[in-house]
Amino acid sequence: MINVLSLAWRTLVRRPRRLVLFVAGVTVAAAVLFDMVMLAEGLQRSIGEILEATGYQVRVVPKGLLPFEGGASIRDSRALAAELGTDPRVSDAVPLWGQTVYLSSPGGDPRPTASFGYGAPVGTTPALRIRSGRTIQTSGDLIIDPIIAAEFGVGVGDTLLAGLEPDPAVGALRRRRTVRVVGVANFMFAAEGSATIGLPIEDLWSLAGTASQPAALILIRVAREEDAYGVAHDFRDRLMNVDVYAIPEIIEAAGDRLTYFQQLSLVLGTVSLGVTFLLVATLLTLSVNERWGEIAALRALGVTRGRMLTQVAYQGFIIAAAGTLIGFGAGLLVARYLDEILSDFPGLPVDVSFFVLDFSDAMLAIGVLMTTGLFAGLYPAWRAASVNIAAVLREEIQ
Amino acid sequence: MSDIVAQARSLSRAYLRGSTEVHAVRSVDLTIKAAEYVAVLGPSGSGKSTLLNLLGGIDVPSAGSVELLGHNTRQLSDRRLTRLRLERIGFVFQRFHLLPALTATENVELPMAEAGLPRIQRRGRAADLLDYVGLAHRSDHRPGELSGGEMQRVAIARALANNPAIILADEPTGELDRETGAEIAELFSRLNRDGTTLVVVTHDTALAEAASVVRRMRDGRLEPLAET
Repeated sequence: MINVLSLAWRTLVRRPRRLVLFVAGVTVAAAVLFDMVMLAEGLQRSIGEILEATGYQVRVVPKGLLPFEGGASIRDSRALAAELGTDPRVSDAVPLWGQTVYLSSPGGDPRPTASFGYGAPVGTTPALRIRSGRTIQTSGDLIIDPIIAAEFGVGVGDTLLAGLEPDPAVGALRRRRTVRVVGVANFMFAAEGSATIGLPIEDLWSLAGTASQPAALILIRVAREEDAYGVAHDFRDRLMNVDVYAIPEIIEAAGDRLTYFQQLSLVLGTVSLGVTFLLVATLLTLSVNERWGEIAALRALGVTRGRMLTQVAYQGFIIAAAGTLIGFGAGLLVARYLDEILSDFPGLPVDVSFFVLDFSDAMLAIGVLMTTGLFAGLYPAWRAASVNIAAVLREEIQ
Repeated sequence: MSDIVAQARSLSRAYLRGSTEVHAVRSVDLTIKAAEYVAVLGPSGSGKSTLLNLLGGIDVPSAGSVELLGHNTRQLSDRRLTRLRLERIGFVFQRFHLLPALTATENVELPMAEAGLPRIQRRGRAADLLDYVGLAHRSDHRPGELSGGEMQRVAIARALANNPAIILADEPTGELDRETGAEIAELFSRLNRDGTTLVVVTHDTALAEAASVVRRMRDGRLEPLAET
């Protein structure tokens, strides 16, 4: 078959080793671009996905902060949650608090845990994935993560001691109480490798010895998804001492604090596009220079300028397309590896990813890369199309 | 209908080589009639190839004109001139200029594909042409697998692809040994006997011996040598 695309391909593969090297170069550049596209808003998207997975669309947080940012808390959270729950659009309002709680088995050494206190109505504890047992229902109930279960060798039905902190004088837990494991669960907001437990918020307040009923945030579920913005807006106007966010607003606010990821991605992504452009332009310029006599002869034989231009431009497109497709796979692998490294950062929730693939962004990156390849081929293509036939043929035999 | 295929009138071509102006062709008058076999002889640098390029519409005269198949080449756009070359002129180059990635058949098919001939027709015609030049058995070979003489035969078959009114050959035996050159000369004679109009520029007197008109060039000027 002799069409322009076929000719372009067969011309390229005349020097297979050189082609492989240049495609490998474009592959690396494309992989970097894909990773940068995934990184630019990956953390925001990942946070958004986790927030949405809780099923609660609105967050009430201390003034000036995002959820679990800083150590401030909302006072009298139970009363505030109850008040917010009276809004007919709200189906559920749950205060949530985090503290360090020590656990020990009878006679054993206490160990610290990241603890979430849930003010959830019976059976609806958010941000948990129960692996065995059930969720917390009454005072004294405890949910543990698999790390605690393995470390203490306990499971559903076993009891442990919980306390705020060990007394250095006696080595025992202060304000301790007995808690019963009712479930083993994964905590969506727990940091990688951290031992995490969940218990009723009242128990956590009691262990902390606080009467101010603090909460790091209040989670609000609206009956109809489309009411989330309206509820957030109305509560924001009404409540002076707290901030209220619908999930997209949190994502946007988080994005403002993660602009350095976007800037880094923009710079490295632009560099990778530049490298792609240079690689394709260099290869095609070399190829055109080597084929000067052949190109002149083809033009003499009646191949039009347009066909000549198209053939060389297609070569650029083929190199970019091959590099892009391989680079896409390579980018995914590299992103997965980097995500594993970055997710070990202390304090990050287990489920957070830095690199999140968005289909439309990926398609855009593919389009931009292929267009770059096509454009990179335009200058050598123009040179090939505007060859001075007679001069080249004359010089060739001199 | 006129039997004149190409006609040069007061044709001149000068170009710059560095800062020096080279007068490659000076006031040449030449008429090529249908079914003629014209050989242009001359030493290197005498302007033979430039004259051939002007006749074939791949170079532009500095002065004078070329009438090619009824068209003044200076008055044609690049697109029309390219189409004219594709459909009515066959070129044979000293260095063959076959596409290394294509087989012999595909190289012969190339001008037909460019002209828009359906694949089945061009495949059949390419087979016939390769048979005509004695290379039917090498049709699936790429240029790298062919000898110099075989490559030139494929190039001649390619030049014949669109059934041209004239074939212009520039030193077609220049890269070949004497024996192979004689075979190509014989092929050109056969082409002419079969009615093809030929203009061949060459150093090779063996190739010129078969021509019906032999012209000699020196310093860009054309001198009549002999008619056979």
